[in-house]
Amino acid sequence: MQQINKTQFSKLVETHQLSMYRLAKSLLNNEDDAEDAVSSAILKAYDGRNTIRDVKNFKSWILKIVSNEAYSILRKKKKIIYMDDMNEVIEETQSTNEPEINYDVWDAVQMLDEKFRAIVVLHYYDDLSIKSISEILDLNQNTVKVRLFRARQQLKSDLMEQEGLENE
Amino acid sequence: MNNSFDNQISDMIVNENFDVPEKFKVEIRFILENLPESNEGLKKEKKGFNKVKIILIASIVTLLLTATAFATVPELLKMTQNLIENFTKINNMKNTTLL
Repeated sequence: MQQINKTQFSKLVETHQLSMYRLAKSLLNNEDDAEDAVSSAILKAYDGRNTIRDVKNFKSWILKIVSNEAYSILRKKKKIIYMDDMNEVIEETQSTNEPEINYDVWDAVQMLDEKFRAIVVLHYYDDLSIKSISEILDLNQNTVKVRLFRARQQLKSDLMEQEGLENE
Repeated sequence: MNNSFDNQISDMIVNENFDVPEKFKVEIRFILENLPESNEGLKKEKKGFNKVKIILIASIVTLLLTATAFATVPELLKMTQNLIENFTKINNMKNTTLL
């Protein structure tokens, strides 16, 4: 076990804050919820910072905590669905379906199905292995492979449609 | 085929300029600055609460099941009374032999 003090912990969090934000956003698809998930993940991670065996694994370790927090928010949200929120969701979906001028990968990722988004983000943006992704998202390695394959196909057709990506 | 597509995606991501929103950065900085030096003051979950809840629910269910069993099968009450009587007799016999 390694002892991590406050300064070291803060530096590590600042280094990986983009990955944490992207993962939370991809799982929750909502700015405020993503902020909540990351904030509570930071507090939990700080509480258990001395249980980490190797600082090299900090990124995977903290991303796992972020995904747990995001799933916990998702579970709570699935229990309570207010009509106002339902209308917002419908409006959001409608607005994201409209073609954008500066279409990029992130836009295409946000259009993906909920179960594909986090896998794509961790694979393409964070360059993580199938094994690490399966550990972070608590999924079987084969499930990750299959979902990544399907997500890739969807992403390809979306990007080809929007950006005229080279057709092989 | 996938590798070529993956390379294209990676190139697009590099040029994407995706960054954390400023509001988010400020919030993270605030949380990090206000972290205690030790773990004292960090919110802890009430671990005992669920145990108490489970025991309470289990007791209520047991009580309800027993009451229902006695109400639906009248012989059960007699059987229980006989059983208690038999145990009392055995106990009394033991006491008298000991004396």
